[in-house]
Amino acid sequence: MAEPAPPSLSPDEIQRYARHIVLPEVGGPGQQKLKAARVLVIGAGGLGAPVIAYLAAAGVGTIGIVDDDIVSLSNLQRQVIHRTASIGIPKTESAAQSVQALNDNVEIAQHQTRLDSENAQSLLAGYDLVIDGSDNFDTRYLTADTALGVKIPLVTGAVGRFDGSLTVILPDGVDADGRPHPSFRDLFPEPPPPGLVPSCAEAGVVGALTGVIGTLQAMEAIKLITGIGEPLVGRLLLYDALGARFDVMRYRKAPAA
Amino acid sequence: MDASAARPVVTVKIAAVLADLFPGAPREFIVQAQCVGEMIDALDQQFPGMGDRIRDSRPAIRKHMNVFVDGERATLDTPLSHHDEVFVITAISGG
Repeated sequence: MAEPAPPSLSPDEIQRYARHIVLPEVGGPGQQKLKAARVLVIGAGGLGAPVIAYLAAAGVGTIGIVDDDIVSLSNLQRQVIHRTASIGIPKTESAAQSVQALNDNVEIAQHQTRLDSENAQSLLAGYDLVIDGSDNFDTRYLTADTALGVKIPLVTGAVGRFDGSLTVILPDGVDADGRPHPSFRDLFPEPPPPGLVPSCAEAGVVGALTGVIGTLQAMEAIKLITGIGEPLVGRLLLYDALGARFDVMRYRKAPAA
Repeated sequence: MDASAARPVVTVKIAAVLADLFPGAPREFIVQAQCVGEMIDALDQQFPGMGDRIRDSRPAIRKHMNVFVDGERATLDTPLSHHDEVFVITAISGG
């Protein structure tokens, strides 16, 4: 079956995305890919906020947002798409309002629910790419396992206190040595025992750190959609905010047990 | 000759959540060790119990952790060289 024709760009969109379109690596075709893309963001919190804002500004055609939480005052130190006036309303709704104000070319699909084993497959299957900005290990492993199952790429990032990390997982393909790309479980086979790793609510997190990691997640998503650059596959990027250091660790598919 | 003098001197950076379990533990150590397993022993000598947090009873590196030597994922047997930089990290979940 022939691929659907890429969506055309209106004169207004050509002007809006002029700084993308002038880039030889992106150009009009890349911008059309962004417009055609459907991206699911898990969590409209600290990481989800910059992810949603930058993908909306970039002109991603459809952004799905999964979150069952409501905006609270303590969110606003880092979740920069939500406003004080939004306290008490669902984060999905607040995020949709923010995107609408930023770029009304973008369609937002609000999934005001918690990702669980019942709904994960049907939610992820409708999208080209998933970005994990969730705040707990259960959701992280469920997202990673489901993305692999429905064969869509995953951009996963996490933060804690002053440290952050991110990596990209591809559902298929091979590396330069012909080995299948690693999965999230090749990196961390199992979550830590309950209670060992404190949450941000328990341990704290600097708001700007979520901005750094979330923005890097948005960048990786844009690279994957437009097909440019070298995605962070088989590499874990670590950011130490206090030391002002980025380090890249390499990992591969684990040998069969 | 002192046997430890021949052992490579390496810098070890550990995850904040690991350091937090041991009051007074720094995020960065300088140790002498021939391999990752010995490096974990050296950490455990300074902060008893730290070894068990990194290595399980198989023995192997715990499944929610990773050790990287100069950016490459390591096992307990991975040899160390002078001035290697070793990261001991754990999965984190904050978003």
